[in-house]
Parts: sequence; structure tokens; C-alpha cells
Amino acid sequence: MQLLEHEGKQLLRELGGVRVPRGHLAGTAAEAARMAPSLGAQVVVKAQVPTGGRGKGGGVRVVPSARAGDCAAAMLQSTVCGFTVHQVLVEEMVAADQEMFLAVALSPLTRSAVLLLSCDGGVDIEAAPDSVASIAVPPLTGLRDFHVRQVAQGAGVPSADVPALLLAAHAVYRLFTSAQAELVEVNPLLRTPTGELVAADVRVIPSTPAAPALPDGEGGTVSERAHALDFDVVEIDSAGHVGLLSTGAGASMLVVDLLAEAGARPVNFCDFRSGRAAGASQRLAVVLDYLHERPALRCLAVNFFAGVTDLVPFAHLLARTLDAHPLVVPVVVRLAGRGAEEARRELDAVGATVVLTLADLISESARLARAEDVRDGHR
Amino acid sequence: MGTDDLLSRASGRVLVQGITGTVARRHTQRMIEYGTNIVAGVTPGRGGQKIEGVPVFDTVAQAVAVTGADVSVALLPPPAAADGLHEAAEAGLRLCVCTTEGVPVHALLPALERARLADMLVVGPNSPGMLLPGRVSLGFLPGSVAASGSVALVSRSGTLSYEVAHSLAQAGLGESVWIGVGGDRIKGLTFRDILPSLLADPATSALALVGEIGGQDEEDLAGDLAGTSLACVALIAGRTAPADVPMGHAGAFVGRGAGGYPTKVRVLQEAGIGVARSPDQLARLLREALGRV
Repeated sequence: MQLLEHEGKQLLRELGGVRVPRGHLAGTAAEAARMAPSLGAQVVVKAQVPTGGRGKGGGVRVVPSARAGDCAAAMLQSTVCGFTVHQVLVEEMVAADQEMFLAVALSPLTRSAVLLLSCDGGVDIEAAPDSVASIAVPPLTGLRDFHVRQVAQGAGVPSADVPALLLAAHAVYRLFTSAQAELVEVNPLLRTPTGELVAADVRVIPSTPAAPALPDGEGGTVSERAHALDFDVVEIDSAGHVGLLSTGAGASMLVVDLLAEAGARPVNFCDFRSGRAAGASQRLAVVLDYLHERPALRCLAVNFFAGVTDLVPFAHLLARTLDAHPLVVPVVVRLAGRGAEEARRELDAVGATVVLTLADLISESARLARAEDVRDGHR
Repeated sequence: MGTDDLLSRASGRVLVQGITGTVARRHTQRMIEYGTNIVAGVTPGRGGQKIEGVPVFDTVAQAVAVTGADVSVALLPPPAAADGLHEAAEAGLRLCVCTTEGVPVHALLPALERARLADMLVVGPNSPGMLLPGRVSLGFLPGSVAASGSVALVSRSGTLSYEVAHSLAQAGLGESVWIGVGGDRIKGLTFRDILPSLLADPATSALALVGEIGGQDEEDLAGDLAGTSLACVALIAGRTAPADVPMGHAGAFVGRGAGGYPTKVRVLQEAGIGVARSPDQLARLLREALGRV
């Protein structure tokens, strides 16, 4: 998940090498009104939401500083690009005669960072891909001046502007490595009439997003609760008919595809990470509690083809759990791999429908999903 | 990073980095049972011990000096994995299969470059391994699902490749080689890097390609495969996955229009690669393709 603009700007400010506009965070219209006059006759009011495309989404507005309070009032608590605005950044206007684009990103092709530069920056950079010069930065070498000079030449930067660009590029690259980012993008990188470079917007996407800090493992979305327990659940259709308890990201994605294709309306993707025995009962509780609450659930499909992991302990856990807290919908189970025979017997004994093949799992789940009569007691 | 001798490198003398870990011991035992020639293990501070009858050394260099090992299976936790790759590369190993999930990408990049400069091939990270049926298992691919045959099974997903191997066996087919390239977006060998080795392998007549949404791996392979005579059928997972949400793997992420299902399928089909909708269908299509040869 992307950092907020003010967070990225603070990190860049601390590194030095490129100017960052003066600005203040405001959580209320009154704060914005109070801070604006010291920043100049005109200010930029910017919604602090963790996504790009704010400009086009109405989240960036230039106003006279006397109007900053009203502007903030309209923006706060509104929705920009799907996010609620809780804070705005009130920032000085910087006069510029050019908008550039400077970024450092990860490239799977070169297995390295790449430095990107264009003299055609701003909100429409995606419309001018040919203006972007790039160079791979070898990981063991790091960014050197000659890399920056090469992209500067490729982007058509005048030689007089290169010294400032060297400092800015090194700063952005240092931010990229210190934040262990997937992307650091400065767009626009403004060039003032005196040749100074100013980072007017800073976008930082960390490569390893921090696990959400859930105080006691409760609350948040099912994805967040699962992520906190180091596995993956993604809601696909809250009103879907087939809940999925499955292991392996690729296999689970395919099961979702096959269920959808069969008209079975999968509720969720699930990668249980069955290779990790520790914490299995907590992970199982997250999935089953979530599925319990789904209003149109018609069956639970279980798919574990676990390779070398022994299925018996998990089958035992699942059987005990279903026995103690039965689901009101049928459970269809497909298990394959080590211990599969005993695992199947355990689940058959608590009333699950045990099938042998993936194809049977899909067809039986789809049949139950399409059934007109749903079992009693189900919301 | 293209190479044509991956299979012969995989047939070397194997050491296991991180051998004393609880899970690593079990994987080591299974690899030995499968017939893998494991000659050494490495865990700093545990040199002199024996695990599953295998001598343990403090460093990779020592293990190589004493046993002549030239392949590593790196079963290391995330904070140690990148160092393990560096150490293996510096010790002159020719291949490292890295199973670690969650190697920080910034640590991985210099390690992969170091490996490339040292001519050490890397499979993974986040790979279930690489297996030559009846001969060698490097990692934790389920040997009981593998069968000897003429299909190269190459996959980004471990579990989905188990399904495909199972379906191949049901259809009377088997693998010449089974390789999990792993689920990470940035990794060692990609599909296109492995292709020359498959084309050079007399035992390989067809390719089962198990991919997923996100990235360009399948498209890059399609470009290289067009014009060769290797029959190929692909299965691509994530057709119905929501955009902009990673599905488990760091690599399975369709954002900003890149790596979506329709484009992948179109590019594969234009290169003459059949696209199946299920593991069973993939096996059927391959059997047909092999029947025509």
C-alpha cells in the first residue's frame, strides 16, 4: 500500500538533495485556514489518500490562501479515488517553467531498479511514454552519475540542468533503497525559472507492506485478519454461494476460476498455507467465521492437494471444528496427497461430502450453488 | 540468463543450505529417499554433525572443498536467504534452488546479480523445487505425483503444478523434468530462460506451461517458443481474479493493465500454444498433440 504524499515528502526532505515544497498537514478546515496565509498568496490543497490519480479525481486544488479553509472543508470527509479524505496537505505554490517526471522502479526484466526520466511530466505522463528515458541500475553498482547523465541525454535535458538533476536523482534513489520501495515517483518534478528542481509530488510504494497492526487479531476486513495470521483470503463476492477453504495460491485461483465458470459464484479466494502447521486453528477460525456471516452461502468447498504435507492433522482439526460448530450448508471436500485416505475418512465421519477429483469438487459445489432449496436456518 | 545446460547442472552433487532446520531435515530425508545425491549440508555453527547421514559443514566453501558439491538446495528462512545465495555463488556452485518465500526484494537483487556474474543458475526464490523423475529431487515437489515421461512441466505455482502432474499421470503421460520457477515477480530463471534447456533435452517432447495473471513471463516465453517444434499447452490461473488485488503470490498482480488474462491467452494462442481451462483439459490437449507427432 502506497505511503501518503506527506510521508514520502518528509522522507525525501530528510535525505536532502532536492527541494520539497513547504506545507502543513490539516485535519480540519480551521487548521487549513490558519496555516495557509504563511505559505503565500496562493496555496495548493491536496487530499492525502494512498493512491495516484488524485489530480483527475479532484483531490488537488489551487486556491487563494484566504479560501484554503473552504477548500479543505469541501475536501475533508469527501471521497477521492475511492478513499475517504481524513487529512489535506496545504502547500506553497511553486512557480515552474517545466514539469518533469523522475522515478525509480523495479524491473523483473533486468532484475534491477530502473531510473526513469521525462521532460514531459505531470498528470498526462502516461500519454507520452516515448518521452521517458530509462536505464537499468545494476544492483551491485548502485546509481552512479553516468547513469543519470545517460537518461538526462535520452530525455533531452539541457546540460545546464544536469547538476541539479544529479542531486535529485541520487536523493530519489536513496529514498528508494532506504524505504525498500517498489516504486518512488516524483511527478511532477518542477523546474523553477532559476533552474531549481522541486519535488511537487512524491509517491512511495514500499515493496514489503507492513502487516496491519490489529490490536487483538479482531476487526478489519477478512483480508486484513488473514494477513495478520500470515495467510491470504480475498473477498470476491460477499453475496456469493460457494465459500472456499483451499491451499496454494495458484491452485486456489484456479478453483475460483472453475467455480465461476460453472456458474457457482465463489465468495472468496483462500490460500491457507497448509505447509505451516502452527496457527492452523486460528487461520481456520478466520475463514469459517467470515463464511458464517455470508448471507447467500450455499456450500463450503474444501480443496487441499498438499504435496508433501501430511493431511491428517488438518483433517482432524477441520473435522473437530465442523463437529463442534456445524455449518448450516453442506461441506464438499476434496483432499489429495499424503495421508489423504485417513483424512477423507475423518471428514466423511462428520458428514462432509468427500469427492476424489477437482472436477467432482467443482461440479458438486456448482450443483449445490444452483439448488433452489437452501437448508433451513440459513439467513 | 538463458541457459541450455540446466538439466545437467541439476544432476550434480547436492548440498543443502540450512539443513538443520526442522522442516529442512524432513525435506532432506525425502530428497534422499527419492535418490538425490546429497553429499553435504551447511549450517553455520553446526559443522561436524550429521543430519540424515549427511555431513554438516559451517560454510558452503568448506562443504565444496571436502565433498565437491556443485548444486545447492537452499532451505533458509527469509532473513538468511539472500546471504545464502551470495555464499553459494562465491563458492562456485553451478545451480541453487531456493525455496524461501518472502525474500525481501531489495536483498534479492544484488544476490541474483552476483549469481549471474558467477554463472550460478538460480531457481526461485519461493520455488517448490525442481525434479528429474526417478533421479533427482531438489526441493519439496511431491515425488509420488511425478511420473517419468516426455512432458516438461514448468510452473509459477507449486500447488497448481501438483494438480497438473496428477492429471498428466491420469492421462498416461509423465514428466521429463518438473520445475517450479516460483511465485515471486522478480526471480532467477524465468520460463524463457529455461526454454533452451528444454529444446536441447532429447527426453522432452512437449511443454506443459502453468502460469497465472500478472507479469510478462508467459508472453516472453511465447515469443521465444514460436517457430520451434516443441508442442506446448498452457494453463493460466486467475482468469476471474479481481484486478489490482494480489492473489497470494507477489507475482500474481494485475495492475495498470499489465499481465491480464485476455492478453496472455491471445499472445499464447498466436504463438501456437494451446490454452486449457483445467488440468484435465491440459493433459488431454497434450496427449492429442503428442499423438500427432
